[in-house]
Amino acid sequence: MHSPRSDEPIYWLLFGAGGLAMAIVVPSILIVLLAAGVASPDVNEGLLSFAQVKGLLGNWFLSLILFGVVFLTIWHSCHRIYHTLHDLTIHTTKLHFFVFYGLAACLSFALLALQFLVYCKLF
Amino acid sequence: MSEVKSYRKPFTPKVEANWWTKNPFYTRYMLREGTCLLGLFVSCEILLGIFLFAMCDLGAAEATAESAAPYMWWINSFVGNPIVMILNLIALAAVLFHAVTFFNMMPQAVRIFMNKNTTDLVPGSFIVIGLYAALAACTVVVLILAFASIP
Amino acid sequence: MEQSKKTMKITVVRYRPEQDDKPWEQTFDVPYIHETSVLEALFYIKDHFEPSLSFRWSCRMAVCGSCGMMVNGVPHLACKTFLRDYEGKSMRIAPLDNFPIERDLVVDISDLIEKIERIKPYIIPAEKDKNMPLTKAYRQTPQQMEAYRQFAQCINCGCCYAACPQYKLNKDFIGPAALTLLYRYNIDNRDGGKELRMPYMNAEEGVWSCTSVGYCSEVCPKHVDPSSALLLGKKMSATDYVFKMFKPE
Repeated sequence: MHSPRSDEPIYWLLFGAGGLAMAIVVPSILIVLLAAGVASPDVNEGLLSFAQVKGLLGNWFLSLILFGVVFLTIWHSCHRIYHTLHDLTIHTTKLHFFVFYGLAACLSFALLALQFLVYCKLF
Repeated sequence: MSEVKSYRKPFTPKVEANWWTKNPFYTRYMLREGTCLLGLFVSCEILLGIFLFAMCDLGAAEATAESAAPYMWWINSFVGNPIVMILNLIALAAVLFHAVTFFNMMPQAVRIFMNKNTTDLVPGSFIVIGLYAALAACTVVVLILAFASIP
Repeated sequence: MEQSKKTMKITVVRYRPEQDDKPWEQTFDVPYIHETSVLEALFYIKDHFEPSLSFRWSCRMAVCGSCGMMVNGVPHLACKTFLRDYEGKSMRIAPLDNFPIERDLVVDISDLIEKIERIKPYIIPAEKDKNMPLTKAYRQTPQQMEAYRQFAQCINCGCCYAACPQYKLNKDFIGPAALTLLYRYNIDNRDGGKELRMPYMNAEEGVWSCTSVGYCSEVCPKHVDPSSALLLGKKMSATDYVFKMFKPE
């Protein structure tokens, strides 16, 4: 009689959390990146120098927060791209679904693996 | 069945792919949706940075230009590249625009009463101001963290 | 006070199914005063220039929801929109977007009606109230009423459907007005039919086809704020989803 239940809540919750992360945390990250671009740091000196980043990524708490923010931003963005395709009158199929959420999953996994690797190496 | 001839011929206009250019409200909506492309760009930029950082020789007791070469390329030649800096600037404008639209929508998703007996809802402005305060506080914390931890 | 008569160029979209293949435009010079509404301008056109012009109307006071139409590309109630607000501009009146055009400014809103019927927009007594005598009333506090009051103001005019790009792109979408009513009955403390309505809300064509464009709330002549109801509906559906994940039926 009625259509089956949608699994959208999972993606929507990630999307919403990602929207919040992108709105609250990402602006300051971009300001730091812009400042670092201007400062062009050395190995041991300057904003986001190798030594500083080593200290930041070696901190499990900061590492975890960075992972959370980037992970959520990835899911937020991929979710929105997928839905905007439909807005541009592109008929979205299961293939589009797997491409965009697959991309999000791959990027998240790569991020997790790399951050874990870095943390283990620094520990 | 009626013998009267029906002249019904409902007309359904075709949906055009550029429907969002016809009304400024829709254009703004598509602009809002477009901010996600820059969100993805920033994520990939950070991911690239962490990837190149992981490529560095992290075991070296004393970091040298050689042992830190991949990361130094990322921070100086990629993040410091004028084109990437302009993209970052556009991304900053985009995430701030996203923040404004997201914060303004938030009161619509929250419908709470002030207390158990009143019919007054928590004003939307409370929620919006709270979110802007969170954005400001987070920016201050990140900037302090970034500048205070410079060795 | 002496009121000078001004005139406005009003373009009306015409479509006569028995002779036209597609809609066309006809322009009239309509005199107006401070109080002239778009609906009255249409009466003037029908009385003085074009007796065959068709449009739906009834109450002339924004309670019946019959006279929804596009004024300069924006969904409006013709009776609640005034020519004075378009002073110095021209006006283009077209039938409501996203509905099949039946004749001139008349659209076929049966899809909207079907969807409103589908979501069971009436109070369904809970199991415990099944045998409640008709002489006994349901109790409701002012706060319990305030919780849904705004969402109950809908007059089914279809303006939100004309404003909704998602309904434009996908006619299966249950749409703003019907989903707002669904939410309105679900949060009514006298109602016990939530479980019967949730499947419609949880489906792909339910709240999950909405991308929070927000134009429905912008154009709603009764300030119902369907966009808010749909966001709250998404929260309700997501909560239900997580809950059912841990406690399947």
